Amino acid sequence: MKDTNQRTNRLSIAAIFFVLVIIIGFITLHKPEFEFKVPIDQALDQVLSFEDEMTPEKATDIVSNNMAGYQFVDVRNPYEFAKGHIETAINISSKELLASDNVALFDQMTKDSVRVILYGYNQSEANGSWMILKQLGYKNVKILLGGYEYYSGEKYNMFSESEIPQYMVEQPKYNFAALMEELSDGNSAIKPGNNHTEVIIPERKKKKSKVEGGC
Amino acid sequence: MNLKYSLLAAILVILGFVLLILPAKEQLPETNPEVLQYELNEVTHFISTDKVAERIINQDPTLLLIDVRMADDYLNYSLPGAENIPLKEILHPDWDDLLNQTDRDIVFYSNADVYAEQAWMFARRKGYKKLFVMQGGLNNWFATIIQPTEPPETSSTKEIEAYQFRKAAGIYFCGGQAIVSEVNPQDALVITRKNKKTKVEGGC
Repeated sequence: MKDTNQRTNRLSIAAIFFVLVIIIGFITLHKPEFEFKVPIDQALDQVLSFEDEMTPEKATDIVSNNMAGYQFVDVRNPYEFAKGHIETAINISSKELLASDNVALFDQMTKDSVRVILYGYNQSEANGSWMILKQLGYKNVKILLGGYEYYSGEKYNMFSESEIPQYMVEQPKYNFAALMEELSDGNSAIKPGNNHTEVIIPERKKKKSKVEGGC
Repeated sequence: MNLKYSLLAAILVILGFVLLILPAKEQLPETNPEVLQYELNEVTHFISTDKVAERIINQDPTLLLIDVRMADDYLNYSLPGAENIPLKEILHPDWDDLLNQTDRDIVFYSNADVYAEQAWMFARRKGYKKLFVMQGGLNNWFATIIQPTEPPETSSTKEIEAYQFRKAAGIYFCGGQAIVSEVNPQDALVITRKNKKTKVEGGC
């Protein structure tokens, strides 16, 4: 009888221990503070739609006309920000992007349906922060094409009359294939698989003049 | 007594069933936004055009270049050995095997580095590792490797050496005979001198 009691005791202790382990496991289950709220395929569609890209022209328009409902956010570090920034901008450096008070600020701006325009020195610098915020579910976040570099006119003349605006950084600056052919002209005999064509020959003549001038 | 035993057994059996019902674990957990944010800030994902050139020239088997531009642009010109995955297809399951591996360093590039970084971001969010972006993209590739600008004479030896490496690399990619076999800048330097002669003779 005594023996059975002892066994029962041990059994209940084991049962309690078992349950405790499960409960502790659930409690300590790591829940990340941030989660991507936008599914990855939707996020890709958002990026490909180019809807959230703002041209520098539009940005100057907003600043010069003091249009309401927009907030420029400079994601460069405070030092760069101090050297010069868009007049109405606030500084949230990309390092501090997910700090709790900044997240609270983004939440507040979303609530007030303020359109947030992120910019860095160039588009590339703000691209990461912009994509993170978009995928966290902030719908009202835009990115400034060309960044501060273009906006401030430091490097480019915004009103130059070129066909493709210079802030479209993904436009090729060279005709890659033509340039490669031109440059490899003198060496094309070495290139494998080049001896099968005679079409190249007239092109070579054309390019000789260019070589004299440029290379 | 017996009841207690059967109760415990029942709990275990139920838990076993729960395990069965639970969805099969996804292949990779999504990368946490904070991790991505950290990597973006530390700029650990950028790789310079010089490094890429060096690795192509050395025929580094651990390098996999991915061109994220449209197929037309890719066919028109691409870096040696590059594969084409247009940005809009980056999530297509066909590419999972190629992107989900750890044997090679995957380097995304586009004309600049914006689209490439976007591709990086999506692949990284899916939890893939060893992903990089070529800094400045092809525009920068042409400005630094194919047609490097000569640094002023007052610049440091390091800059001049970098320029000489670029010049040699440029000739290599233009189909010249220069074979830069060593990472060592001094070797590159020797080869460059030779190449300069050829350049004067016949243009690059």
